[in-house]
Amino acid sequence: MTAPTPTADHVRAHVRAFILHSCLLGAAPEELLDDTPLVSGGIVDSLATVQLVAELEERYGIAIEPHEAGVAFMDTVRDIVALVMGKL
Amino acid sequence: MTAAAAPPGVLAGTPRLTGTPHDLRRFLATLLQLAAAVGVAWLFRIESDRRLVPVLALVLGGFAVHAWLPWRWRPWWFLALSLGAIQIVLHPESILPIALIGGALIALCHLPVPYRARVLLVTVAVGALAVLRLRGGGPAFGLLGSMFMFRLFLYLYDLPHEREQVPLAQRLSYFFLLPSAVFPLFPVVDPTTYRRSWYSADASIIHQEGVTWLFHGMVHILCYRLVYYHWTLGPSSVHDVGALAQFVVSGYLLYLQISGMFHIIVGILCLFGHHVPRSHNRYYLASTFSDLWRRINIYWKDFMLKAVFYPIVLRSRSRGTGTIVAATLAVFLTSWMLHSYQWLWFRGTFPVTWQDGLFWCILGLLVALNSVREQRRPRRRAMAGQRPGMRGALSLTLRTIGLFLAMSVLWSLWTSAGIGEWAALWRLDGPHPWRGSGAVAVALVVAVLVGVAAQRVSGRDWTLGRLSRPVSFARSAATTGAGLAALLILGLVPRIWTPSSRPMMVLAALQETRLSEVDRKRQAAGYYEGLLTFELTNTALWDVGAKRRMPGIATTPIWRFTGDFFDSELVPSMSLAWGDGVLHTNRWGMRDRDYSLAKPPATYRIALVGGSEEMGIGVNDDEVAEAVLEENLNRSPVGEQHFEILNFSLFGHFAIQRWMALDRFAWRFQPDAVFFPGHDVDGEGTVGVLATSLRYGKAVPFPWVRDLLARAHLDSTIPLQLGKRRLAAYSDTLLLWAYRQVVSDCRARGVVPVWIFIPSVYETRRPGLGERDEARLAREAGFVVIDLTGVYAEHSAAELRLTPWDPHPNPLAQRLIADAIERRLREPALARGLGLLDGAAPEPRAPIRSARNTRSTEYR
Repeated sequence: MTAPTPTADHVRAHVRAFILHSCLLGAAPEELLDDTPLVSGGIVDSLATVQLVAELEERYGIAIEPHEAGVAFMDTVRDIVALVMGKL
Repeated sequence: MTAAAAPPGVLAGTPRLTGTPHDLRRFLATLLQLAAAVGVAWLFRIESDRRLVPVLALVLGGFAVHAWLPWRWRPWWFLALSLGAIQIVLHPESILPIALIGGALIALCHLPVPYRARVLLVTVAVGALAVLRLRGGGPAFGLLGSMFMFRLFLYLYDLPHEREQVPLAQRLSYFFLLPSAVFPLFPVVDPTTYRRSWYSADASIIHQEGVTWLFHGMVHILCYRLVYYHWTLGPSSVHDVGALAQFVVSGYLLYLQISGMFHIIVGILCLFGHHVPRSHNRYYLASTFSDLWRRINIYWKDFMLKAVFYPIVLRSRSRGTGTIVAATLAVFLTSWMLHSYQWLWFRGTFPVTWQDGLFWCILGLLVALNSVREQRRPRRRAMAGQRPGMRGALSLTLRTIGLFLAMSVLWSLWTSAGIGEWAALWRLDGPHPWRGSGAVAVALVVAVLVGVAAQRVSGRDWTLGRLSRPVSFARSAATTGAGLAALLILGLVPRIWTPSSRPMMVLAALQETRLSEVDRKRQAAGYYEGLLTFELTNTALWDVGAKRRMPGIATTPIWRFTGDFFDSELVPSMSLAWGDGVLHTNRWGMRDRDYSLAKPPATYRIALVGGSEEMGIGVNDDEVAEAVLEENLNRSPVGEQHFEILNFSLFGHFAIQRWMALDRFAWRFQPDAVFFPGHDVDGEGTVGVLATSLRYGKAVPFPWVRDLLARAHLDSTIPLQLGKRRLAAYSDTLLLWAYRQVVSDCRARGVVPVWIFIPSVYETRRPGLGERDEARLAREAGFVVIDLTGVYAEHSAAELRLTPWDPHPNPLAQRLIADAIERRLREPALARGLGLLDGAAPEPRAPIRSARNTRSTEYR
């Protein structure tokens, strides 16, 4: 029996929780929008990106390529969700 | 009325397209601000030598059309505008090679062969082009390099991972990017980011952001000019703590020009829908080295993360501290090499210097240490709306000031002429080395108070990564519009009222694109020092090299080095097409027409011994002031005699060498008068010649000068800038000594010594400042003095100089000089003094208090 495929909402909640906990300690959750610029806005830096990539790879059993770990594919929560969902 | 909305599925390459129809009012508001921005750029001549103003005019018209085009046509329209910008900036003949070579490189990326083969082919092609560039390829290579030499590899890197169909126009416009034509220092933009950011938010908001970035960019450039024109110092002026602080801090502040350019670039891209990330985000407010790295050139940072950092870290089994440190160091080492690679395309050399290596290694190490610290203690950010406490505000302020000062010092190392020169900067051996300490302390205290107060009053700090509210169009348009209106008013003021007061002159100077006084003098003195190899980046002089259209004369066959203190001379009987003019030498090695050795009967001969201005750098043979003056005097003679003016002027020669030129060349032509031009850089230039000769082990053939060098504790082990600093205190003494040698030699031969002051083209007025020091020295030495101050009074510097970065007199300025000398020679008193009227002998002069007896016999 295999685990059910996570939904976009599930991934979204997970990504938001990671960012709020690791990069925006103390911020009100409702302030983090789906299109808040994370990398280009200086919220998620390279170290946080590495941690986030590790988290996503481990949680969802996916592989995120080096060219995907940056502003082009991970600049917003929406981008990250799309990236993960595209690999599931 | 609305602009066209994106029909679904039209642009498969831009899946995040969320551009929405915008109303006419928003469009007109943006258009109006953009027109104001063009007006500001025109009034302040923002990057005018890069032809930004006509390109912005193109952007204005292009934007007005682009915003209403159907989506599918917009990329093609942007591509057409980009090619139009290249047409504006480059000579037409450069465009076809760029288009053909660029097109071929893109085609190589898409050849139907395996991916590795394509990478190899592109690498070979780029290598071949690099060899051509190293062998002296023209300026088009700079633009070609800017457009292709980084983007091509990023493009190839992303090519196998493309998941969507990319329109051809977007592929092409990624390379032929509109702002690249004006700003070649913007080589790196990520192709995926470029495509995916296209209308990734509301169109009117993106367009408004574009105008806002244009405005910010212009403010940065104006601030840069304020610092550059009024606050920079040359290293030879650093004698005390105050000057040292000013030198170091002002050098780092000059980076404002680069950040201004980046803002303008991002602004232009936003106006055409490319919502690329913000760069140079308040980088002077960074509080750690990592913070600075995240704020400053984020395009470069993202490039390095993508190409170096993530591949190392994510492909590593261990993603621990060691891997992070190794990857970070690899990023900075790669940055070092790639910066040299960038210079290869701009300047045709691949500089590998200790300064570069140290700068990148130190910065890399500091960022790595910061990263390790942050890995263990993640950054905490203040909650939105949380007012910083006093302790937190003070801590952030101190860290910010500390980082700013540390970066200023590191920057001064990077931009120094050498490690020894940089170390010498800190040896303050002036008579009052601690002078300025009080002012520095006060400035630091004020900075701390302002930093704390700004946080407490505004209720927020300046840490990066805050959650911000969505951009409000109305608020952004109002603030940007008001700012642009203020700049327009400031730009108009000096055009309506003639600048007379100091603030008005500062405001007028903001509208100029030129070298600062410090750089102008360094440039003049630097001809001898070889500084125009453009290794210096602390000033705008590096830019001179990038813009220079002609090779340095010292690299051409018409120039040869003598191997002694005299240094160099022209090769006889040669011809050189140089810049826009032609330079001929006669059989005697003068830049002049031919003359017989024996003076013809009834001829008045003048020997002119000057420097680059008198030699006529950048103008044709018949446009040099000497040639114009000779022709005018013979057309309407003073007295009964024919005139011959023999031009012995030599590029990069100052007072002592000009005096030597009399002995080497002039006396055998039996001149009746010697014209010895004076400039405001003569003291600095003479000091530079001596310091450089000493540094490079050339024997100084004059005992009196050698004694002076010994008194100044100078020998060949002293770094160049330190030597210049020490010698600066003797510049008047040296000038007077050289002047006296000239006068003494003239007297011994019955020749009239005439000193002619020729002002800089920037000195169009000199109200109420009295006699200049150089004229006083010349008079004291016994010269007949002709002061041409005010010769340019009816003209602006822009009308008189060769180019914005080359202040040598252009043909108009040369003619004004010739006319002014002619007028003076026709004054009866002066004409009699020179023996031009009625065969009168030169006026007797007082005996010279000469240092002649101290002159070396070694040289004779």
